[in-house]
Amino acid sequence: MLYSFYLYYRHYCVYHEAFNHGRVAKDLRGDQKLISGLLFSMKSFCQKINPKDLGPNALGNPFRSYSTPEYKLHYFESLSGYKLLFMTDPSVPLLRELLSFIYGSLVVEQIIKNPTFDIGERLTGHPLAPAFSKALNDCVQATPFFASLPQ
Amino acid sequence: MSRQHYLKAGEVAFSKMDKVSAELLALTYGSLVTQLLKDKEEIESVNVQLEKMGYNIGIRLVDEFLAKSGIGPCQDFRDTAEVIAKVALKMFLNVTADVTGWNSDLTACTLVLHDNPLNEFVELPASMAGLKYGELICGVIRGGLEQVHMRVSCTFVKDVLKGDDTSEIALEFKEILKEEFVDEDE
Repeated sequence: MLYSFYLYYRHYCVYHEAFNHGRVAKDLRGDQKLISGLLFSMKSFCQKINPKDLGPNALGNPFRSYSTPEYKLHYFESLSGYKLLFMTDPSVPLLRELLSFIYGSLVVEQIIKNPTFDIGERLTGHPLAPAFSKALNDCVQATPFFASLPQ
Repeated sequence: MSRQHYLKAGEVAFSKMDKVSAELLALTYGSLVTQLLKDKEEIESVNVQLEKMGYNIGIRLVDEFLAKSGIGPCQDFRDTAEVIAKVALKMFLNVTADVTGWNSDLTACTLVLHDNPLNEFVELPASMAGLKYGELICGVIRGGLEQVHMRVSCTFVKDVLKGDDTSEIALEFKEILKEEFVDEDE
């Protein structure tokens, strides 16, 4: 069961979508900021405690997911600073490939390559948002985990 | 990773790209430069404008590069230069370059272009000696690298259009841009 999707650029959320009548966040903006802080901290944390020394210029974010008994967060980050994540129920296996596909096929092709979109602009409320939302929904609904009941 | 590996990755990435005829690209670019030369009084400001347009392309193009080439983080700046020369240029322009002329600190090098599709049908009159015709490419490189936290300077230093033996782009590493946490409310 997929609950929601977030797209971040650098440190702010540019797009959010909830699926399957997921919980309506009481304070969506607050949640988005908390996630942003978590992602930033997890990156430096994961790099710091890595038993292999990667040197000072280690790029990329090694953080991939975390889960609690109630939900799981799946994470993908491009080297250029786009961050995509899903919230799902914890039985869903890691969806990094799906996130990477959404980055390459939807975010890059439909949004970044579209000249009406300025880099860093918020996608929510943008004229491109409805088409992106439709493509995103088509894409996630095709996964076998989309509406499977939590185990 | 090895040069051979990158050459291969470049071929694969190129095969995934939508193609447009080289003549169409060369003529479109030519008319862009011609228009800029009409609009601007100084040739130097045309160079600046081309570089700026390239930069704005670069900050978008890098994402297509990352998504389609499958290239991961580079180990060092030498690695980065090889990726640009063998994968990125191949992917978008179907050319490759040799990386030569490293300084002792390994922060500056020269990309020697084997061919430049933008130069097709172009002859520069003597009055345009100051024009850096392909400077847009340099802007793309600078913009693309800036998106992956690397500030560089990049410019044409030799050009076959000006009678040089080769076309060469000087590429110099400036700094790694640190990722900092910014609270948008503050």
